[in-house]
Amino acid sequence: MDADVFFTEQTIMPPTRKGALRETGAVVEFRGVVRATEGDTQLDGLFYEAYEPMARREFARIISQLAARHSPQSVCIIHRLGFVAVGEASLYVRVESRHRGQALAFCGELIDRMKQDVPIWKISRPRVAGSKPE
Amino acid sequence: MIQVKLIAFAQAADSLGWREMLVECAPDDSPRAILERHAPGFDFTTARAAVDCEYMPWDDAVGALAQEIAVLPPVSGG
Repeated sequence: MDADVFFTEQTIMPPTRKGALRETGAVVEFRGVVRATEGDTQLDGLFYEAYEPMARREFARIISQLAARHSPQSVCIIHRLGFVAVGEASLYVRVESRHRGQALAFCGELIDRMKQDVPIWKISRPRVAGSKPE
Repeated sequence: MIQVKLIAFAQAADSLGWREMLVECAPDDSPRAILERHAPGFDFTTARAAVDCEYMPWDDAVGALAQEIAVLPPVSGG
């Protein structure tokens, strides 16, 4: 199984698939996008910070554990760092597998586990008076 | 004694007022004991500790090989 984890301060550009496997039956892609509001607060965006070496290890541990249950063929994760404006993707996940159930379950569980254990933090950036809402 | 790097992230760094410092400690010191010496009154309620990129209970000994102790507020990636 291929597994890639990237962190970037640039707009997320998903890499091309490494080669369409003849046995791939499902390609699930997820993008987490920054919303304009958090509670009652209007935002310009979110600022992301990570403890990157540990985040990579935690992603590897989670991918390994979930792979034992769901047998994906490939996993690609890209997480933004730094400022991410409203409307932009902060997270991209692509999972390929033989069947859709495996890829969908892997993707959902991966994100749940990330939100429990992967050391990445978001910090709200309230909208500055006079700035245009997205 | 060993020398370790204490690092803090996000809200933990904000409340501590620093992001990184070098400190000396004993191998049988816990992350809690080390942090209490350098940040008295720190609220441990929601924060977690990691030693060399592995989560560790606040009260376990860091060990003689420890190099980096991280103070991690609740994560919120995605």
